[in-house]
Amino acid sequence: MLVHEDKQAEQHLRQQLESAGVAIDEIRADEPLLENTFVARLRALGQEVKEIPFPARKNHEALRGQIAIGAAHLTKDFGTFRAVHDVSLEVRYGEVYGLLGANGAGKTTTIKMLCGLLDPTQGEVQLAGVRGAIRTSAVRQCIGYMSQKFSLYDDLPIDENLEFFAGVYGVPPEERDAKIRWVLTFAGLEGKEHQLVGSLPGGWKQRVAFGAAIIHEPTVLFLDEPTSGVDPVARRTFWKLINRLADRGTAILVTTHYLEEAEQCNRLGFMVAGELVAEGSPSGIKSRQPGHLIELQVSAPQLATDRLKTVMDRWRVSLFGERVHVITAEPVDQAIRRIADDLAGAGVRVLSAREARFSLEDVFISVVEQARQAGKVARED
Amino acid sequence: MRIDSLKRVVAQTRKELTELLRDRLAIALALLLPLIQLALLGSSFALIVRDLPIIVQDYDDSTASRELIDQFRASLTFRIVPWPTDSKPDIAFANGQARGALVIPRDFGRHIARGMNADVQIIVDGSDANTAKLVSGYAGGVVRSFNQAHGGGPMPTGVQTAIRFWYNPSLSSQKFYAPGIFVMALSMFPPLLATLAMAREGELKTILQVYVSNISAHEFVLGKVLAFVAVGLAEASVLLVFLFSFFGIRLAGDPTPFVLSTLLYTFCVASFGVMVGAAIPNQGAAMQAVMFGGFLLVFMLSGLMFPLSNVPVGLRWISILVWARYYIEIVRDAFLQGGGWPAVWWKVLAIGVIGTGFYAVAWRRMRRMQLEM
Repeated sequence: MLVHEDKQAEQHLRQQLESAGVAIDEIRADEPLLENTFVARLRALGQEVKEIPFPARKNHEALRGQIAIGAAHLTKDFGTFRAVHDVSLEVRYGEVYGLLGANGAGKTTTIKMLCGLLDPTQGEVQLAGVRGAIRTSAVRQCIGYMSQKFSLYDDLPIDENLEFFAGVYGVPPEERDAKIRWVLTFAGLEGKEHQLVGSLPGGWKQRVAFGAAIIHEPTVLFLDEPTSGVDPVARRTFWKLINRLADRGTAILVTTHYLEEAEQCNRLGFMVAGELVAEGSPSGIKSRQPGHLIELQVSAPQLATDRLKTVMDRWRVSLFGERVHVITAEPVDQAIRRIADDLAGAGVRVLSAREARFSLEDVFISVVEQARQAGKVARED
Repeated sequence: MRIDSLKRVVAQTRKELTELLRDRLAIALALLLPLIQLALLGSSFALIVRDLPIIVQDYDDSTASRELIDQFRASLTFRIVPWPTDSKPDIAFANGQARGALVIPRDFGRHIARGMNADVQIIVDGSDANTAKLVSGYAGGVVRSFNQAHGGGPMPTGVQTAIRFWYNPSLSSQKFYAPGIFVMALSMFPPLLATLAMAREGELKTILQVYVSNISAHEFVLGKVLAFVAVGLAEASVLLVFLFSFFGIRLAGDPTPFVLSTLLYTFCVASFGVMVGAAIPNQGAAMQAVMFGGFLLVFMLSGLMFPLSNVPVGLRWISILVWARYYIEIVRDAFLQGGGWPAVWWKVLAIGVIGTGFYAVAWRRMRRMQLEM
């Protein structure tokens, strides 16, 4: 929430939530991120994406809890390059599973194997109740897939694209109009249905592609970076919809670069260099991270980061905007003192230092950095 | 289940045609270009040569020599280009003023008058073998008739040949070439558009969305093929209307072999295009491959432009597989000979077999509906 006066707002919140019978773990005031401000501003300007309920005809509730996607020891080699190594995971109906990883970590290859686009070199996939032979028409009728690159036809107008996908997915003609109208509303493109897809900005294309992927109400949905290139407001609408689909029993596997989005997943898997190195709920993953996180505000953040990386393990230090995050195994006070001394030596003043809670981003960076240190990742810096 | 399958095929065909109809350039390519080709043919192509420029160097300047020159002048084939005797004829060839030369030596008139053998020299520009042959043939003819008039030279006696050309009695070049252009157009444009459409799916990765949908390989390939069968049939109709109305071409007999083979042929070429596009997911490269198959093979090895008997034996066997070879024969039969089913049944069958082969390869390539790697 974005408020003017935090103490007053906190009190107000407590009253409201208590009267609604919601238990409060903690309320914490923090400085607004650029994104919070941006979204609030857009909303104030009436830029919020319109919402109408998805005209669902099917209910996948009966499936809830069963395994929708199962991977056992998936490995994929491209020539001598091992893109994915021994990945096992399970996603149940009604669950949102987030696959995270740096570029080139093997997320897209994994997702392609899971939805049957690519045969694994080793291992077995279970999809929509079928094990092994997942390339049947019946299985494909159950899945939706939105690829990293939009798979729409650029030279066709929006409505013709949707008409085509409704056609090949066998959406009954009497439902098509309602579905197509819904996609147009969701994408904020009502009245522009005759515009060529190729002429749309990327973010809009992405919305249409998302709509096209769910037009036949799949029970298993694969989303490969659905929100890259989508503005923050629309991204929230995407996630609202993803959560709602999961509520109705859809199993969703999503990859993303945005870690604040990952917080919304029921479960997460971190991929590094083709391997699944950590898995669990967002809070589980964060609580399993050993050590303490110290958040520093310093006079020269970049200089401080560079300096600290020379005196401790590289993975322990990362720069978050203007703040420096340090993960330490020492007691907090002792660590802060040591860091302040170090930085003073480099002519950097510490303005404030406090223990903060791990965000997914801290965990993610430390996992990737540790893998890099172990020589597993060399692809980017 | 069957109905669902049909619906998916229709969805694919419909999408393909919608994409095509929005592409004005493609439409122009498919419909307008062949018409322009036909129009060009109608006005310029000719089997009968007229007005071939020929230079004359008359060193004799006698009554007889002038008479011979007049004979050349009188024939519609030649046009006399004046040329000074002190200038070499090859200059005229080199700068394109003439294709041949008639050189009459000094004693020509005297020899004729004495009833002796009189020589003339005919020089032909051999850089274009076809024209050279025509020039030498016609020039020989003119000289022979001059001989007859003067009672000299060897006279053919006994056997008199009277040549009649069947099926195309006036040797109308339009009647000969029009079916060729018709076949050429059908062999090029539908497969070209089909291959571009198919390769584009692979190149722009829209194929992924198709792979994950529950459309089967057969439905997908068939949907695409049918769209370009429709394109081929539209093109055939436009061309036929043009041929019938402006070229005066008529069907010579039973039209059913022609109709059926046209259906099969559009299927064959559309499948060829889809097959190439499926194998080569790159529009530029796929287009090259279709140009090779659709243009080069059809142009060179179908008997369309050159008789197959002129093709070196080592290459001739390839023509057995060249789909246009059978169709061109069916079309010529339909427009000129009128032999009907007894003459062409196996050629119709051959087109069907080759088309099914292309379709099968395209399907095989797509059957897993999955990425290769």
